[in-house]
Amino acid sequence: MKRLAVALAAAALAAPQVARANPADAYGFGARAQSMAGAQVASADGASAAYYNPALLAASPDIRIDVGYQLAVPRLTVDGHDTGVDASRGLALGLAVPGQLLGARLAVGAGLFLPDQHITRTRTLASAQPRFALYDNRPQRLFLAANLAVRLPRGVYLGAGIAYMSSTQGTVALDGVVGFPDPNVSQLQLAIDVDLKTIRYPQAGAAWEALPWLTLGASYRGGFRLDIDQTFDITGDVGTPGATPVVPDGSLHLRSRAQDLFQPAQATVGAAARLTPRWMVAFDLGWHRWSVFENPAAKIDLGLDLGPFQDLVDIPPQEPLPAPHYHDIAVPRVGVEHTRGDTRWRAGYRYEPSPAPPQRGATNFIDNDKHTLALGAGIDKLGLGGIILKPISFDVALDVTWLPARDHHKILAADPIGDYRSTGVIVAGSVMSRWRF
Amino acid sequence: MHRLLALALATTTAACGFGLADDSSGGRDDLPQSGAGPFKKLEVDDTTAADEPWIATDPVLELTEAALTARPGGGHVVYVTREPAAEPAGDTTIWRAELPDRRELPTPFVEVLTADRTWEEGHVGAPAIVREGDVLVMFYAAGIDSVGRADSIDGGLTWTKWPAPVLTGVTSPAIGYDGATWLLAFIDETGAIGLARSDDGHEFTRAAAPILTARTDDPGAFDHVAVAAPSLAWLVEGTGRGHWALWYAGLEESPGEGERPLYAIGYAASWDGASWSRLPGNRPIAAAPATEPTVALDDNHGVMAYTAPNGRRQSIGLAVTP
Repeated sequence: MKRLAVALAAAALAAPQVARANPADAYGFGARAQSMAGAQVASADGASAAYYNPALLAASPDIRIDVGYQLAVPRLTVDGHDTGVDASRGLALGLAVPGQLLGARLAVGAGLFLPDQHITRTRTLASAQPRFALYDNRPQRLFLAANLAVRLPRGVYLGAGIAYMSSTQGTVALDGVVGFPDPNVSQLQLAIDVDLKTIRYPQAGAAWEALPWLTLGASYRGGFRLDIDQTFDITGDVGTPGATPVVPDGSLHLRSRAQDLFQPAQATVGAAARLTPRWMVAFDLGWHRWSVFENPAAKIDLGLDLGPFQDLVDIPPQEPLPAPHYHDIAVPRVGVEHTRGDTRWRAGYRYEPSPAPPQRGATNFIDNDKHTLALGAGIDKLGLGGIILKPISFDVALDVTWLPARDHHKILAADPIGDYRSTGVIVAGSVMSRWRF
Repeated sequence: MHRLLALALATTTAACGFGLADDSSGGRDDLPQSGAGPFKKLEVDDTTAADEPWIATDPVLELTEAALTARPGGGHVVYVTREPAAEPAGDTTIWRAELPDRRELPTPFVEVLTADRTWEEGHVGAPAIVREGDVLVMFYAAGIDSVGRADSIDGGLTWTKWPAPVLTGVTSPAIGYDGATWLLAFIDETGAIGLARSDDGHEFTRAAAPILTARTDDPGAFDHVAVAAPSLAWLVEGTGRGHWALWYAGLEESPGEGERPLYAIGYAASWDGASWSRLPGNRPIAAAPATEPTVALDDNHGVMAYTAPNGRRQSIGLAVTP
């Protein structure tokens, strides 16, 4: 058993320093969790543990299947204007399958958030363009994670897993004759080489039933960023095919390297206390490593060879991208669950301070502090007609995140963007059914 | 509980299935901007009645030095300096038209200010207009190097001139007013952009040094050779803090013999009117050929009128922010 635990821990630690950039981070995963403001590291129940704390997948002896739908609609404004940040919505699925190995309960689990607008969206904006940096692309991606958990003696649970994403590297090459002055006579051969490389990033967790009424938990997710590397090459003569070229062996080389979907490494500790048979209170405190967030704008390498006309072209080098100077943050969450018969009422609060400094310089990676108030309810229904014998849970959640107004006063009077005030509200809801077998 | 569940299911289904929460722009709408543009000249659009980018053009007359003000009910009021064909060369007047919709032609231009004072020497032009309460206040170039003032209480249809110039020895006036302080920018005797300040709009005190000169030490700057034609405004931003904005024409290279100078338009700003900084970099905010800018900002969108050649004559065009 110790070997198994060591192997799980080693697997988690040996994996690269990454984790996830996904809608679950922004809005939560599962209706029960969302209605408790995400205070789940010691209280996750069912397949949502695949996201909050993989160790708790082994807490239940049942096979668990969660099926739900989540929706988050932001209205984030700058100077009173809605900036049109996209809604995030999609199918949330979770699976936990327990088993026995060497006398210990094992569980494998998976979590999936499948957006129904984009599987994943990446978009690189100009460095100075104002955008709500934490909501631009982060909620617009697929989340897929697989986990393994084990229950050890003395009420200890360990779990670890990996999540998947892909990075993009591509080259578009055109070779031949670029028609000049008539581009229609161009004779070019096209070659496209695009590589979607798999990125795996780890998550791990532990939980301890310290007392019959108290569970302690901890989880870790590494950092993640998506590298987008695109190259565009044109090589060949410029002129009319068959005639002496105007530019022999000309070339244009354009390479764009950008980052997207950044997600900070996160470490969370928490406790869940069942104060009475009816009342459970959970508290989480997370650390989010935003200080390594880099400017996501594209770095452009541009090479142009126009032969005898080279002197006519002056392409200035790209200015260095200014650093965003984000800082690490601590995120407290508290959630309560009240059980009355076969119904449950839930509430939660989360405070997420902004990792972004006021945008006083050349960058406009806007973010505000966030206060989230969550409410929800659930009901357990007995199995359906003798086919499903165990209770089925139906949960609903609704949360509102308020971003209090924040002023960004520029240092330079001649700043291209100028001062602005950012604020906003995000309304998120979810429904989920949880099945036990 | 069942009703709650049903409501949640119905709401969510409706949201995802019927586009209630579909993508909007993805975060690119209505972004703030300080007046620094960039401004892009209107492109020809055959589907409109307008003559993009021109709002004032004539095959015979020179139309220059425009001023834009907001028009009640939407759109803009345009003032231009016009060199009448019937008058001696160099004599100019100021004309006015309304432009309710830039996709339409402006209303016919009407003469609103003529050089009828001795000290105006047959020339009035380069209007710069601000609003003080219900009164529109125009500062205009008069004669060779004087600046006059005229007021209008009927939205710019008629103007009452002040008897004497408010400033002399300068040309190309531009005016800004923040509710307490008046700043009057101009081209001084050396060709630099200078500034005068007033607490009442009547008596102006010139600053000792110019606020903007050509960047002679930067050969790549769009204003390497000369600066000209300032336009000034007090802009209040979303936080409530304001700044002085200055648009001006810059010349990168001296024109060859017989050639027209190829001006482009740049931007500078100041918190206090005393210390000014240019937009970082050495690029213009509106490409050449364009000079004599005037800008009207409507929330997060800006409209610039500029002077540029259209055929053999100078005309007034429009450029806009995205």
